[in-house]
Amino acid sequence: MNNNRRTLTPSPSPGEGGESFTDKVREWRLGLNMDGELIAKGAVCALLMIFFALVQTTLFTRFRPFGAVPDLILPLVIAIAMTERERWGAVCGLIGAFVIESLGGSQLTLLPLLYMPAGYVCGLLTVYYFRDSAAVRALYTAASSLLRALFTLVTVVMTVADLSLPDAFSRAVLPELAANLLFAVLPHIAAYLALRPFNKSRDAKVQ
Amino acid sequence: MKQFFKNKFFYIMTVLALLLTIVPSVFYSMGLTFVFRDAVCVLLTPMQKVFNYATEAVDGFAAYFYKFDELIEENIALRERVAELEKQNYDAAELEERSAWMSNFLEMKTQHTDFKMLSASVTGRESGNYSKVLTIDVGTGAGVSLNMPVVTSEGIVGRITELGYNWAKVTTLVEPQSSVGAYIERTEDAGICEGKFELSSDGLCQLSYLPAEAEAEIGDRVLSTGFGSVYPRGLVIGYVETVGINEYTRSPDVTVKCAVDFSELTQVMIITDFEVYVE
Repeated sequence: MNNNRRTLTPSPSPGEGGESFTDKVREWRLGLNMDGELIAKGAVCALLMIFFALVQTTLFTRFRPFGAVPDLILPLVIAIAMTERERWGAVCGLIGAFVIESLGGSQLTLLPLLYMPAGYVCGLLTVYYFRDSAAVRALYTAASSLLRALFTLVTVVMTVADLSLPDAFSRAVLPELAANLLFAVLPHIAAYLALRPFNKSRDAKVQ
Repeated sequence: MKQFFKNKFFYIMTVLALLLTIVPSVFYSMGLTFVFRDAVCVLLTPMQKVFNYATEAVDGFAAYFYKFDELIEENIALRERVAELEKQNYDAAELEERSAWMSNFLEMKTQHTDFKMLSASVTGRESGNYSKVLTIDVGTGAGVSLNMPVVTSEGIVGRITELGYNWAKVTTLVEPQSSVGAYIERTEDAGICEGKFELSSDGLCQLSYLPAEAEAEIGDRVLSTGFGSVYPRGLVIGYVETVGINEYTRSPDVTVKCAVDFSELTQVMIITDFEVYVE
């Protein structure tokens, strides 16, 4: 899965000599090739995000494990980032955070500041340091869930008046952390299965 | 590692993340809806609705398994609640009935200021098919004595014919051995209202010994005369049911439908004292 290990070379800035019109356009597209596979992959990621956002805001608001709604989008972002690398992770993190905040209807929108860097960093770490494996996924998911707990704590403290820290931990942060860790496996499996066809074709191209 | 964060892509994404954090929050605090947020909601809310229906269906089905104990407890609690409400309902109906009874009682007391009355409940009825004798729950202990008239707000029930310390038997008007002085209210023609075996099962009694020139019409109200000192004057006995001519005495042969329905009686009043009527 880690065959496309590469170095990050900054692309020439617009205006430098020898740059074609296509290069300029690619620069605007942030280096993403807009071919059919990319569009299909984008559609799959979008569907995954919509599906898990809906599951999170419907099924899990009714059936609340540990009394909290688990965050399914963050593990999905990490799963996408580990499979499709940092750019996909960052873009999906940004969109996923916005979608879930929009559907959830919270007053304070902080999640883009967590999901986007989480996706980006997990993608980079997978490319340059740790190969994709179940243990690494579990480690990244646990780490991101801890950050998510911190964000929840900040959000709760900022939006709920007269809330003590022990109450915030016992009623919001810890139940959510436990639920996140328990159900993170679902987006990972879904993303792995849904994006596997693209990885196979990519591996074939590389070989 | 630093170079990973010093590229255009990351800068742009960071700016976008900040915008998506700040702009919706500012819009929310201003009471406005951020246009992209609105678009997401417009697109996804119908899907959310479908998911919600599916979730409800799944939850309803799954509840049979994971909420089984809870459902049993809820069922028990609901049964207890139903029992409690049924009792309250029964009590309310009983109170309403009692209130109506007391209201009638008061009305009778207002009409007959000389009456001293005692309330009693019907506890039993004669087990025979042709007998109309009632048992009530007061007796000598409450100051009841033989031949005291027993009435309801509708009219005369009968009189006390047997009693103990806390019980008494009431022989109703329709019993064969019962007789009471009666007159037709409209014409004031007087006679004697007697119980007849063949009429008692229909709640009827016969008004006999009326004068030959007496005029009776169906529906005429028949009241007690007060003669004989058992019943006070003016209590309702019933209403004329049929009018005929006695072929021997040529006087009117009248049957009276008793005002009281003996089969429905639950509460009665005993008149323990009253002013005896003197003509």
